[in-house]
Amino acid sequence: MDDKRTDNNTGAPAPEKDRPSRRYLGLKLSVIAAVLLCMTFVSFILPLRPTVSEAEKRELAQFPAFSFESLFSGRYFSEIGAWYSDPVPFRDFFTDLSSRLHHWLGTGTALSGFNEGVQGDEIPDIPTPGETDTLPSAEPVSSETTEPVTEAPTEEPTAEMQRLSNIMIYGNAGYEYYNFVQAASEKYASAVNRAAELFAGKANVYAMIVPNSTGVMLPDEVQASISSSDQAKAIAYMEALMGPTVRRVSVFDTLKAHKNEYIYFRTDHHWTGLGAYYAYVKFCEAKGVAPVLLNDCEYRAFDDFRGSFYTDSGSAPALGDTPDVVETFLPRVNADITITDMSGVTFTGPVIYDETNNSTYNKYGAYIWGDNPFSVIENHSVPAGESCLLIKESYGNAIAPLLIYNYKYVYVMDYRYCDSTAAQLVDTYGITDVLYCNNISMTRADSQVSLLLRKTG
Amino acid sequence: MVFSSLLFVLVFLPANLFFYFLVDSVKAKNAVLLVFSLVFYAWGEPVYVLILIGMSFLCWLFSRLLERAGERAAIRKLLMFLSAAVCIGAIGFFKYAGFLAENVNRLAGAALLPVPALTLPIGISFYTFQLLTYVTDVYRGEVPAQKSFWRVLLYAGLFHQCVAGPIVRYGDIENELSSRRTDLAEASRGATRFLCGLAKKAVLANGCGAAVDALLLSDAAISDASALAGNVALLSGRSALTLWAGMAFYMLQIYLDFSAYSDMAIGMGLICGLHYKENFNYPYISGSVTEFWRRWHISLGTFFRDYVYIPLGGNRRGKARQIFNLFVVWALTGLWHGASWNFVLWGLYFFVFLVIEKLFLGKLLEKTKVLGHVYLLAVVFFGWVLFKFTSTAEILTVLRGMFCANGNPLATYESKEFLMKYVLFFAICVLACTPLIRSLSAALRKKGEKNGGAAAAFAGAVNIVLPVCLLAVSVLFLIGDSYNPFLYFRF
Repeated sequence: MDDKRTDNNTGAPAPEKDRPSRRYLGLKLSVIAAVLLCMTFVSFILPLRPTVSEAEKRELAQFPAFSFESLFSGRYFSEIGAWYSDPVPFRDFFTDLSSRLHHWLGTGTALSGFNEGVQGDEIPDIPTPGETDTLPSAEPVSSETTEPVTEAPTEEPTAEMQRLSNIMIYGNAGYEYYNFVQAASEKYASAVNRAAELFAGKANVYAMIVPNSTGVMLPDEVQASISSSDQAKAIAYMEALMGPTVRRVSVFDTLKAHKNEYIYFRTDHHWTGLGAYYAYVKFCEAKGVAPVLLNDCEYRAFDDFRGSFYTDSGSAPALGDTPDVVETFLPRVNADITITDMSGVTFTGPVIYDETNNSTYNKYGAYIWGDNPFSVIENHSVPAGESCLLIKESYGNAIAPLLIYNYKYVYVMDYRYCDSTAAQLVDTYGITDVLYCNNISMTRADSQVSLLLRKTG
Repeated sequence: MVFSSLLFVLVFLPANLFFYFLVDSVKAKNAVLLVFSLVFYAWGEPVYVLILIGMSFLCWLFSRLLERAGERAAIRKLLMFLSAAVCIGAIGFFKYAGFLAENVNRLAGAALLPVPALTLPIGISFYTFQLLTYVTDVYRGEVPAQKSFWRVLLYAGLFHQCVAGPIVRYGDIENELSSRRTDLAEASRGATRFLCGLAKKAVLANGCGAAVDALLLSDAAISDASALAGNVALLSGRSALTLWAGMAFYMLQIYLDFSAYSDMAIGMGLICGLHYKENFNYPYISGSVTEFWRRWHISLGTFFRDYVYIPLGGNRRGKARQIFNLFVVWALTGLWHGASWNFVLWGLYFFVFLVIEKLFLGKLLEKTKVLGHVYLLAVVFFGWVLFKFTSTAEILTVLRGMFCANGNPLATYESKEFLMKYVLFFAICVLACTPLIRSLSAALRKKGEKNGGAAAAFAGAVNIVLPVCLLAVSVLFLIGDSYNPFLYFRF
C-alpha cells in the first residue's frame, strides 16, 4: 500500500499563461448562477405551485405544521424538503418531460416493475362435483401461499388509486401481471358463497370475475413466456368453489371471442364499454332476459385518454403517443344517477359523465362518474320493476350503465368505500338480484377480498 | 439533507454561496460555512448534531492539552488514548453495539445482551475518522493543534464532506482554514465539477439504482430480515441474465453514486478555495486488486494505511507480520462499510486477492495487461455480490443463479425485453467509469488553445453550455424523482 497518485487535478493552479481570461470565467460562472437562480426564483412563486397531480391522482405534499415532536424527530425538516420538491411549478409538465428523457435513455423501463420469476401459487385442479361439501365458507382460509413480493402487505385501500401490480408493455399496450394467490381466491369464493347464504330466498347472487387484458388480449405465445398465471384456469377454479345457488357469469371465453375488438384499453388497466357490453350480454343470458342491442344505445366517445398503465409506467411514450378513446353505450331509456360521493354529498346527474374537458388521465370516469361509495341509477321509463345491486370496484363502472335497461333501479356499491354492507342494502331496498362484478386482479389481494367479505354482511 | 435534492441544489447551496461571497474576511466566511453546515446536518438529525459538536469539542480540547503536555509522554499517551476512546467509542456504540450484542447473543444461544435499536447518525463514520486523524496528527507532531474550537468543528462538520466523504486530512486544509482566497479559474472548475457530480448521481447512478431494484432487490427489502424467505424465493426465480445484469448495474451504481458525492464535495470545496484530495481515480480501469484499492475510495485506503497498517509495522517486520497487518486492515475496512458480517467477508475477500498478488500474481499481471483487467473486473464484480446482500442465503442464491444452478432459465422474454431498452444507458454508464470523457474535454480545450479562433470559441462555448445542460437535466430528473436513494446509511 503506497501513496501513488496518478492524478490530482485539485493541485496548484495552472500557470498564468494557460489560464482562460477573467472575463470568460466571469461569464461562465454568471451564466450558471443566473440559470440556477432563475430556477430557484420560479420554484418560490407560490401561486404556481400545484396542490394536486392529475397524472398521479394524488394530493401533493403540503407545508408541514410545526410541532416540537416533529422538530426533534427530524420529520419537520424532511417534510419541508418534501414540500419544496413535490409541488414544484409546472410539475406535471416537467415530470412528463423527464419521463420522456427516462424512456429515451431506457431508465424509464424499471418503473413498470419487473415480474420475472414471480410465481403465483399453483392453481389446483377443479374439485369434482361430489366434493361440494368442502366449499369454502366465510371462515378464514388458512393455506400456505407465497404472496407475490411486489404486492403491498395487507392495508386498507384508501381513496387514492391503488398502484397496480407489475406491468409489461407489449407493442403500444400495457398489460398487468396476474399471479394466482390461492388463499385470496378461496376467500373471494367464500364471500360470494356468504352472499348466497345470506340472500337465499331474497335475491339471486350472480358472480362475474372479469379477466384483465393480459389473459384476453396478450398473444398466447407471449403469455406462455412470462410469469403470469393462467386466468381462465384461475377463474374456473374460483367458480368451482362457489355454491350451487350462485349463478356464475363466465365471461372469459366471451371476451376472448371478441379479442380482435376494442374491448380493453391499451393505456389503462380497465376494460372498455364494449368489453363490458359483451359481459353484460352474458349476464342477461344467465338471468334469462333480453339484452339491449348496441344499436339501441346512445353512443358517446371521449378521446385522448391516458390511463393507469401510462402513469404507472412513468409516462411511457409507447403508450402516451397513442391515447385511448373512452366509448360509452347507454341504453335509450330515461335514466339518471344519484351519487353519494366520498365526502358524503349526494347529487343527481346523467349516467354518463361528460369527460370532454376533463384531464387526459381521468376519462375512465365517464362511466357513472368514476368510483363513488354508493349510487342509485333510476330508470324513469318504467313505472316499476326489479332492482339490482352491483358490487364492484372500478371495473364494474363500465357495466353499470347497461344494466339499467333491465331494471327499475340499479344500486351500485363500491365495497371499498361504501359504509353499508350488501346485506343492509338488500334489506333496505328490497333488492332481488345481486351481481358481483370483480376484476381478477382483486382476487389476488387479501386486503381487497377481506374487505369484500366484510362488506357482504 | 442530501446533495442530490432540489432543496439542496436550488435553495441551500445558492443561499450558502450568496452569503459566503457576500462577506469578506475568511473568519466571516468560515462562520457562514459553519452555520450552514450545522443547519445541513441538523436538517436530517436535529438531535444527533450534538454528537458531532460534542466530539469535535473533546477532540479540540484533547489536542490543545496534547500540545500543552509538551514532552511528558505518559500524559500525551493518555490524552491520545482518551481521544481515540471518544472517537472509536462513539462509532462503536452507534454503529456496532447492536451488531456486537446480536453476535454475543447468538454465540451464547440466549438473549444475554439487549440489542439497542439505534439509528446511525449520518456521516458518523466520516467525521469521527476525520477527528481521529486530526488528534493523531497532533499527537505525532505532524500538525499544530488548532487554537479555535470553531475551526475544528468546521473541519469535522463541513457539509461538503461530512456525510459521504472524502475523509479529509486536517493537514490538507489546515492553512486554508485560516487563510484562503477564491480563484476564479478554480471556482469555474469547481462549478463544473459539482454539476458533473450532480448529473452523475441524479441521472446515471439513480438510473442504475432503479434497474438494480427491479432486477435484484432494493436495499430496503434486503435490510428487512423478515423478508428473507421472500427475497430468496424472488431471487431464485430470476434468470441468469437478470442476475448478471443486475449485478453489473449495481457495480456501476455504487461507483457512480459514491464518486459523484466526492465530485460534488471537491467541486464545492474548489468554489470556496478549499482543496480536497481526489477520492476516486477511475478504479474500474485498474489492472489488479492492488491498483484498484489505490484508485477506489482513496481517502479511506490511506486512512487505514497511515493509522492502522503502518503503526502495526507495515511491511517492516517480515512477511508473516505483514500479512497479519493486512488481515487486520481489510477486516476493519470491511467492517467500516457496515455492521454486518457480509461486509467483513467482503473486506477479507480483497485481503485474499491482495496477498496472492503480493506473493506472485502481481508480477504475472504486469506482463499480461488484458488479463489483469479481466481478472480485476471479475474479482470486483463478485465482490459486490458480497457487498450488496447481507445474508448468506441471498448471496448463495445469486451466485448459484448466475450459473443457472437454481433451476432458473438462462434468460427470459422479460429479461431480454428489459435489457434491450437499457443498452444505451448501460453503455453511457460504462463510459462514465472511464477517463474517456475527461480526455475528450481536455483534447477539445487543447485544440482550442492551439488553433484559437473558431476552435477556441467552440471549446469555450461547450465549457459553458455543458454544465448548464447538466444542471437542467439533473433538476429535471430530481423533479421526476421516483428513485433517489442514499446508499451510505450503513457507513
